[in-house]
Amino acid sequence: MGSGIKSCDVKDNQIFILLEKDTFPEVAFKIYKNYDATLDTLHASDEREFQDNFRIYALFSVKPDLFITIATNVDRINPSFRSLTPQIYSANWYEREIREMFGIEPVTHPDPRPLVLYDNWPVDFHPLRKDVEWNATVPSAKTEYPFKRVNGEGTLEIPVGPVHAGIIEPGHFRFSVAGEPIINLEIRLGYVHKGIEKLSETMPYQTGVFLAERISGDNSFSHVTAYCQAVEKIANVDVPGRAKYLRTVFLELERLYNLCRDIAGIALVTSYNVGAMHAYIMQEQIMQLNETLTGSRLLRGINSVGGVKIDISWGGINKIKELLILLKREMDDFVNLVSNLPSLLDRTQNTGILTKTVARDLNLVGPVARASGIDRDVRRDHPYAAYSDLTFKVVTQQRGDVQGRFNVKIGEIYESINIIEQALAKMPDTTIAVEVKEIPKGKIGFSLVEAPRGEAIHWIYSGEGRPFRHKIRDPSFCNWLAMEAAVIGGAGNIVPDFPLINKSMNLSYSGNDL
Amino acid sequence: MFKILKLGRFKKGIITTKYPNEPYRPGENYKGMPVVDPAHCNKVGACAKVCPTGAINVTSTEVIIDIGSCIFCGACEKACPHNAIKLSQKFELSTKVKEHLKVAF
Repeated sequence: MGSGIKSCDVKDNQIFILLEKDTFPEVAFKIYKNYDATLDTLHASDEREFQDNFRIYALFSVKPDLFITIATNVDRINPSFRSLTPQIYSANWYEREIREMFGIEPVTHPDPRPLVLYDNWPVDFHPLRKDVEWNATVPSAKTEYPFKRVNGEGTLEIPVGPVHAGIIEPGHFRFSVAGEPIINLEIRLGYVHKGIEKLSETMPYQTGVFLAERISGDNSFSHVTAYCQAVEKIANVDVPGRAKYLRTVFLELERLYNLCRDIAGIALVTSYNVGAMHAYIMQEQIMQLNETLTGSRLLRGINSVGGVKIDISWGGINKIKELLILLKREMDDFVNLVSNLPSLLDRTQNTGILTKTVARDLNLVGPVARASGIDRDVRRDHPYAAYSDLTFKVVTQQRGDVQGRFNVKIGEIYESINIIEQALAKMPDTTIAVEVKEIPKGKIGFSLVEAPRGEAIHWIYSGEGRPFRHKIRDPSFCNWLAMEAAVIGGAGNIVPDFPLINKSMNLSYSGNDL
Repeated sequence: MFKILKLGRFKKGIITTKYPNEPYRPGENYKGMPVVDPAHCNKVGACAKVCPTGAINVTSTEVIIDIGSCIFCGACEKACPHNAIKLSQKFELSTKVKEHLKVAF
């Protein structure tokens, strides 16, 4: 054991290291650099009631299938720690989140502005501390968010939102422009902060499942799978084979309808309505299939801790197979329509470029990262459910522009169809759930699930029949900064490019504003 | 040759439905409004106990369900020992008055 290490624990593919506070940033940087690791989450936990300190956890994942958690204690009086952001840029938003939620100061953080809470929150009110009640009334304060300003002759500011033209979620975008080209974009979120992490700490696991389903509407099944798998890890339960396969099928059905809507959105924003409608029809057909199979278009009410509640009958399997054959042909048609269309290519090519370096530094996830040449997919790198039994390709592109993201999404639709077909053919005939009797206290369990937008992570530190600390990381939390980078960087994007770049990523506000 | 197999021009027909001019019938598994069959209900309150949002209130004479709080999860259906509560096919539940969302059986 080297100096600065308090304890080290290895279990399966997980390494847990407790460090002295001084060595925390160096060790984090070493893991990040030497093992080409990804910073999955960085979060705090208020453990004052049993070990007199706050604790900070950083979860790194390393290929192939290894997880390293490093943790350090932070004093209860004037809590602070040395920021990782100067060395690991992707720690940026996590540290700003810790600062607001726990009042732990990341010293030497380059941008310590508020992030997750709405403007009228008082600065000294930290909701995730244990001495704050979950239903506490928040006093209102008058604060103003300090936007970065661009001054000079001919420069203008365009504020957009938080209320938008379409019926979408709220978010504020502040453009600084010189004529048409955008010089700077700042995104301000947090308008739909719901206190999900705090709420989850009050909910027994059986009820928490329903909460997890409602974190981000269209990624319902991915989030609930991550939640259930994390709890199953704590309880040390292995779910039956059929439940794993059913989860895989539902996860891919969810990905299919999300991606169909995404490609429809891109076609729509380039004013190619015919193509968009083709894709919207596919999305609707999948959602109607979901309703026929499970009774819920958004695949809610299926998952539970220990397995799934709904089985797919023989007739149901045939219905899925029929739709998949139809979808493949519809997709061929769609690709035929869009692949050589000048009006679409003109808008999508070289718009909103994200280079591989940017994607790596910001730790982008999901299709957005894969379009910039990052070969990362949790389904393959850290397999869960039935993915280790199935063969599939991880679609990547090197372009990093809207066209690249469009192509990755099209490729992933074909792969999803392929995965579902394999899973249906291999589906074992076992029970679909086991009873989980005891969920022990004081254990850590986490799970990564590749949601349609990227990896969703649920990290649970178990308490008395409910999570003591539940950290949720939605893929959009990583990718929102990519929006700023894509709009500013590259070859002079203009204001009308923004909706297209926005649609090509299609991020979730609700998942970000937990 | 494989071009012929593509849907292309063979793609015909109507994909939209006439709702609300014609009724929409959801699938048989559809999870709509919970309905209690008073003839079978013994007011044991098993449904109220498992309801994750506390939408069900069982008194000695009736069962009151707050549709506004219901998340249509189906936990009540599974918990009922007499099969008295079921998620029905009803989905047109909007109302202008909030109190109308509380339904007594």
